[in-house]
Amino acid sequence: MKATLKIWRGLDAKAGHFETHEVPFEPGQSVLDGLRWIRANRDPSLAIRFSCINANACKECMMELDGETVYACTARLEPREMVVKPLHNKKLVRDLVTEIAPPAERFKG
Amino acid sequence: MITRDLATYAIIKEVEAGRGSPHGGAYLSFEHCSEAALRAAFGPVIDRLAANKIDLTKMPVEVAPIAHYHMGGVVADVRMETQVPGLLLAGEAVGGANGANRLSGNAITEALVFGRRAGRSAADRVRAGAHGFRPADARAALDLVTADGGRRDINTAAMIQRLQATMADDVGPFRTGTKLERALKNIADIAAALGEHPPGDGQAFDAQRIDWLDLRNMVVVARVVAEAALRRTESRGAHQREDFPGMLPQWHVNQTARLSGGGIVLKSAPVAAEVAAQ
Repeated sequence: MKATLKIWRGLDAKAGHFETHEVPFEPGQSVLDGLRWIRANRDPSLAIRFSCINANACKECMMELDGETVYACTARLEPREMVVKPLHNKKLVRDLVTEIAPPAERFKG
Repeated sequence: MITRDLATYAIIKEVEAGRGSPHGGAYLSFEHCSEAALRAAFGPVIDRLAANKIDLTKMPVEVAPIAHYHMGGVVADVRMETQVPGLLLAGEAVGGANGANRLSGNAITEALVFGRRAGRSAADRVRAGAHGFRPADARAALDLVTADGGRRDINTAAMIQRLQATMADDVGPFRTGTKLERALKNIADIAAALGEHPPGDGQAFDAQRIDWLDLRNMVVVARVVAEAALRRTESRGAHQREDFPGMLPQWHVNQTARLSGGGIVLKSAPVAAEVAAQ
């Protein structure tokens, strides 16, 4: 079985595009598992941010899945097309990565 | 309940013998326990499992040992200062705090005690105007972060997975000289494939650039762990050599590693707690 991830990509929130990848699917996998599979097997340039991988502890992998805000590590992958986008109400960094750190904890560029 | 190292050994040996579970572990069953007993022991975890259609009273679950702690780390003094000016340590990054094995629960203490000491040292440094950061020293690293590398010819995400698999398979809890030599060859291949010039465009959050910078450090740490494990021809605590079972008095030492001209120099040092007791 396969899952299909339709992923928003870009460096400019107003000028992105979608890329679609099929990934192997088995029950129990997370959306983050699918995104990591794409990076290791198809396109390592895909920007995602995560730390704990699946402990629901670091909150780094927050993104929008079919329009809902989720943690990619706890959202379950399903054998259908799923649309993944960066958080629309946070400043875009790149692809699925947005600026989510509290303002006082951000590095000044 | 058997101790963690024995459970780890049993699972790894079953998997090696071809009797592992589908994903390379073993089955853990709580089917003999009542729901009330499981809820008392695990609390909200039971609800998390239920949300994923897992009922411990009715089905076994797959488990496998993973690396979740490392006894090695950076050498620090009692103020958590290192030999790199301004680099302070806390928590698990501190080397040698647990000797050859760790007791469950010590990691929290390491975070709190060493964190408090490191915080005090950092405050002392700021008050003294001696934070130690010089932009000129950081220039070479910052250039690597921002350089327009252009190349996208290496799959850095796959290389990280390969390095992790190498360390899990050949530098795991049960080691042999053959496995460690094979790991060092793999690590050297990965380091060579990295090259000197970073991939990617150097713009915001370039995932390949981040992987590449991480990997440059990961291969050095991997080499230190594998070389120290190869040199230590005995078994002690979390380091078990199947080709050298049993502890040897001449290995009652800590090993330290230092980068020197691209190589890693390993030395043996007396165990710090015993030096302090003299």
